[in-house]
Amino acid sequence: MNFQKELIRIALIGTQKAELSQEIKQQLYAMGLSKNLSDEEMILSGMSFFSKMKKSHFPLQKIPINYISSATSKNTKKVCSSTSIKHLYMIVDGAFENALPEFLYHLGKNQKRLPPEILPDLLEQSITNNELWKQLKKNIGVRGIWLIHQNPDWHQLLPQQISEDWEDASNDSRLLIFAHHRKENPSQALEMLQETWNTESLNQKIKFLKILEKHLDKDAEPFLETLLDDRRKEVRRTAVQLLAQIESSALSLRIFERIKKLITIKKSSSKKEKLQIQLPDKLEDDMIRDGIDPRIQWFKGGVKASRLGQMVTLLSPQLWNQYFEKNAVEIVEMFVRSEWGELLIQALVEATFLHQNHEWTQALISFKIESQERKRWQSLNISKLMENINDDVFNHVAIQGMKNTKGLLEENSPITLLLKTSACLWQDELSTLVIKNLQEWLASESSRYWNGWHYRTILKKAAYTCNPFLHDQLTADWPEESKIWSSWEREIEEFLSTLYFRKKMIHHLKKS
Amino acid sequence: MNTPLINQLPLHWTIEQILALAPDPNTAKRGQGLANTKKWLSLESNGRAVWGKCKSSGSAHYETAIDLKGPAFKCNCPSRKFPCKHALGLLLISSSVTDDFRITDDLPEDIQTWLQKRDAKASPKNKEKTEEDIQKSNERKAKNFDKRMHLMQSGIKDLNLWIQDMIRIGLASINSSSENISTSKVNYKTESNSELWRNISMRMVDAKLSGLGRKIREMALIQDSGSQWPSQMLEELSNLFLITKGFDKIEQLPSNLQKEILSLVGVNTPKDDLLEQKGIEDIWKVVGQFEHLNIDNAVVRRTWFLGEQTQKYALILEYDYNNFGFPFHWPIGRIFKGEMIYYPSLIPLRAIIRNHEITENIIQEIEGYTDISTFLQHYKNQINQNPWIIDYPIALSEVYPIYQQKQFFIVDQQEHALPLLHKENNGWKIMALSGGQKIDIFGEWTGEKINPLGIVAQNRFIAL
Repeated sequence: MNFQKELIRIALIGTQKAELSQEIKQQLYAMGLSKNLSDEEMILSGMSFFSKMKKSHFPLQKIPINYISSATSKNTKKVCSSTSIKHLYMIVDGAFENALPEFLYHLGKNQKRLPPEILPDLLEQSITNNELWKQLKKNIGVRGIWLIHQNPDWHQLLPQQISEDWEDASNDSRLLIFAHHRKENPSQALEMLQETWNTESLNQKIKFLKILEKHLDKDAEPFLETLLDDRRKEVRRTAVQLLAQIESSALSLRIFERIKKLITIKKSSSKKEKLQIQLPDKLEDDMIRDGIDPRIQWFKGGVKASRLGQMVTLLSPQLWNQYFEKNAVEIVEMFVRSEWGELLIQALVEATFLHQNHEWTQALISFKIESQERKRWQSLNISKLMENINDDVFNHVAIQGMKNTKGLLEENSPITLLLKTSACLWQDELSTLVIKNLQEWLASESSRYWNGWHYRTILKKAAYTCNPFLHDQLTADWPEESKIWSSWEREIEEFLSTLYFRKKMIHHLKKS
Repeated sequence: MNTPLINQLPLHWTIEQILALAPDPNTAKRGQGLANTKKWLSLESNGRAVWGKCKSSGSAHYETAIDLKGPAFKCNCPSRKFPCKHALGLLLISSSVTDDFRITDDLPEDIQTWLQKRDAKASPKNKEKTEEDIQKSNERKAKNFDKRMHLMQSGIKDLNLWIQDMIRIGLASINSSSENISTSKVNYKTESNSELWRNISMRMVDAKLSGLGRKIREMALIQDSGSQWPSQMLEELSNLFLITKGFDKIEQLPSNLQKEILSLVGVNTPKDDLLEQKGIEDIWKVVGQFEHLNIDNAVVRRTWFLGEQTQKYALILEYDYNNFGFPFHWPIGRIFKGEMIYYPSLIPLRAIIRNHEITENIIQEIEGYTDISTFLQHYKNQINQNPWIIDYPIALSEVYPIYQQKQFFIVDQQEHALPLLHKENNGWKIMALSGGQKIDIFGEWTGEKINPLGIVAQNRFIAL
C-alpha cells in the first residue's frame, strides 16, 4: 500500500466516512507519532512528515553526459556589443519592432553575430515568419544551427533533404526536387518534368509552373508552347503568362504582330501625334490559343475592347518603345489622348506589373499623380505597381510629387498612398520635403481645422524609412508654439526617438 | 544651456543598464526621446544628485531629480510610471552628455529636503534615547505584543480546528456549494466554496495572523490547479497544521524558531528595529531577480544577493501594491557595496540593505556547487532546521544544461541531474548560451525544480 496515496485518499473522503487502517497507523506510530492523536491529526502530521521527507530526500536522476553535443567549431564572427544586445531586446520586446530587418542587415554587414540568448525567441518567431527567417539564417552562426538541431520543433527551419527519387517521392518533395534541379541544372529539370507531366494532377501542374516562373528562361519555351493546347484552362492561362514573360518568345511576337495591325500612329496636322485604334473584329482560333478569352469583359467598352486590352496586358511594355521609337512618358501621353485611353492605360499598368518594367512603372505612377484631380483617371488602379516599386523609381516619383504639391497632401492622393504603403527607403531629399511640408502645415492657421490622420501614418512609416542620420536635421524647426502642437507632440516625439534609436543602433553595430 | 563646468559625473551606467530601469519598453522609448539636451530648460548637479526642468507640451515644465546614490527618482509629472520618461531621459543625459550640467551647491529646497529624508531613512537612528525612553518604549511594545499574542492564540486555535474539520468532512466536499463546516467554537456557514476560504482567511486577518490569511487565500486556488490538487491541498494543510502546532508551544521554543513561526504567521520585525542592528558589510553581487503577482495583485520582487567575501546569500523582498514601481532598482549582474541586515530567522536569508552603493563591476562568475549531491545534502540540513523553507538559493558551477524528453535538466560532471522549471523560453535560452559547454547557474530550488534566474557562460552573466 502506498503510504502517501492512502493518506490523500482518506483526506479526500473524510475521516467521518473512512477510517485509517491499522497498517497505516502502525507506520505512523513507527514515525514517532503519539497514539493519543485523532485520525485527522495523524493524517496531517503524517503528511507533514512526508512532505519534509520529499524535500530532504530528492531522488537524484542520472543522465549520461558523454553524448552531449556542442557547437564545437568556433564562430569567426564576434557577438555584437552589449549595447547592441540591449537595442535588440528593445526591438524584440516591441518598442521598435520594425527595426529588426535593419538591425539584422547591419549586423551581417559589420561581420557580427547575434547573442545566443536571443536566438530562441527569434527562432520561435521564424516558424511562422518566413521573411524573418530569410534574414535571420544569415546571422545565427554555428551556435544557431546547433540550437535548431536540439529542438525538434525548429527542425522545419533546416534545409530540407532533397530526395533523389523523382518518380516515387511525395508531391511536396517533388516540388523541392524540381526547384533544386531547376536552379542547378535547368534543362535536366525540364526534361524530368516533361517525362511525368501527363501523370501530374492539376494542382501539382500549377505548382510546378509557379516554380518554373522563378527560374524562367528561353529553354522552357518549347515545353510551355505545348501547354497552350492543354485541356485545362488553368494550365493554358498560366502557360500564356509565362510565355509572355520570355523575351522574344513566339507568343509575344504573335501578339505584337496582331497589335501592330490594330494600333498605329495617325499623322495629324497638329503637332501632337494621335493613335488610330481598331478593335479586333474577328477572334481567330490562334488568338484564343494565345490566351485571349473571347467572352471575358473586364474593360469598359465590351468584348472587342476587352480583347484588345488582354493583348496589351500580355505585351512587354518595352516593345512599345521599339514600335513607336518613343519613351514611356511620350507613349503614355499618346495612349491617354486616344479614344480608348482608360482601357489602354489600365492594360499598360497590368503589363508593366507582369513584366516588372521600372521605366514604365515610373511613367505610369507619375501620370497617376499628375492626373489625380481629373475625374477621368480617378478609377485607374495602380496599387499593384506601388507595391513592387523599386527604391529609385519610388524616390524619383515621390520627390517630383512632393515638389509639385502645393500645401497639404490630400488623404487619398496617390503620393499619400505611395508614402504610406511602400517599404522603399526614402532619400534625404524626400525626407526633408515631407517633414518640411508637415512643419509648414502645423505652423499654419489651417491646421486647426483638420486632423491630418494620414500624416500620422506617414510619420510612422517615415520613422523607419528615413535615413536615421538625418535625426539632428529633422529635429529642428518644429513649430512648438503652434496651437495644435500638443496633439502632435507625441507622434513627432515618437518619430524622432525612433530615428535616434536607429542612428544609435547602426552606430553601435559599426563599432568594434 | 548653462556653462559647462564638469566633465564627469560620478555615474557609471551604460545605456542598457539605464534602459533596464524602465517600467516598460514604451517608457524606455520615450525616455530615449528625452535624452536630448534641447528638451531641457536647465540641467544641474551637485555631484551627488542631478536635476533639471524638462519642457512639457504646455507652458509648464516638469521638475525631475535623481539621487545618483540610489539611483532614486523624483519628478512632478503626472505619470504613474516609475521611473518616468523624464527621469530616464535625465539619467541618460547624465551618463553621456555630461558637459551640459551646471555644477552648483545651491540645491532647490524641495530636492534638498528629499535628499535629507533619504539620508535619514538610510542611516541608523542616532537620536539619543534616555533609559527611561527605552524602558517606556519596551514596556509599550511588550504590552501591545501580549495583547496581540492573545488574539493570535485564539485565531490559531480556530485554524487548528478548521483544518481538522476539513479532513473530517473530506477535501472532496470542499466543492459542494452548501456545506456547513462547524467546529466546536466557530460556525463557518459557507454558501459557496470561495466563501469557505474567505471566511477563514478573514478570521485570520482579524486575529492579526495576516501571513496565514494570505496563505489561505492562495490555497483556495489549488483546486483549479489540475489533477494533483488533492495531494497539494493536503500538503499545504499539513504545513499550516505544523505551524499551528508550533505556535501552541511557542514559549517553549528557542528564540530563533519563535521568530520564524511569528514571521510565518505575519508578525514581521519592524524595519526600524532591524536598522538599529549591525549588519554584514560585504561586496554584494545581484545574482538573480524574480517578480510575480501575489494573491493581492501586488507585484512581489525577490532580489538575490551573494556576498563576495562571506559567501552568504541575502534576499531583498519588496512589494508594489499600486503599480507605482519599486523605490530602488537592483540591476541584475551588477555589484553593490553595502551592509546587509538579516531578519531574525532559523536560516537568515531575508534582509534589508543599508548604505548601499553601486560599483562599476559586473558579475563574471558565480561560485557554486560543482556536485549536485553535495548541494542536496546541504539543503537537507537546512530543511531539518527549518521545514518551512520554500525557495532556497542554489548555485551550481561547471554544469551542463540538457533537453531530454521535453524536460530541461542541469547535469553535473557526476551525471547527477536536477530538473529546471519550465518558464517561457528560459530553457532554450540556457541551452543557446551554453552551446553544449559548461555553465554556472543561479536560481531558486523549490524542492523539486530549479527556477533559473541567472547564468554565466563564457564569462558573461545573463539574467533570465
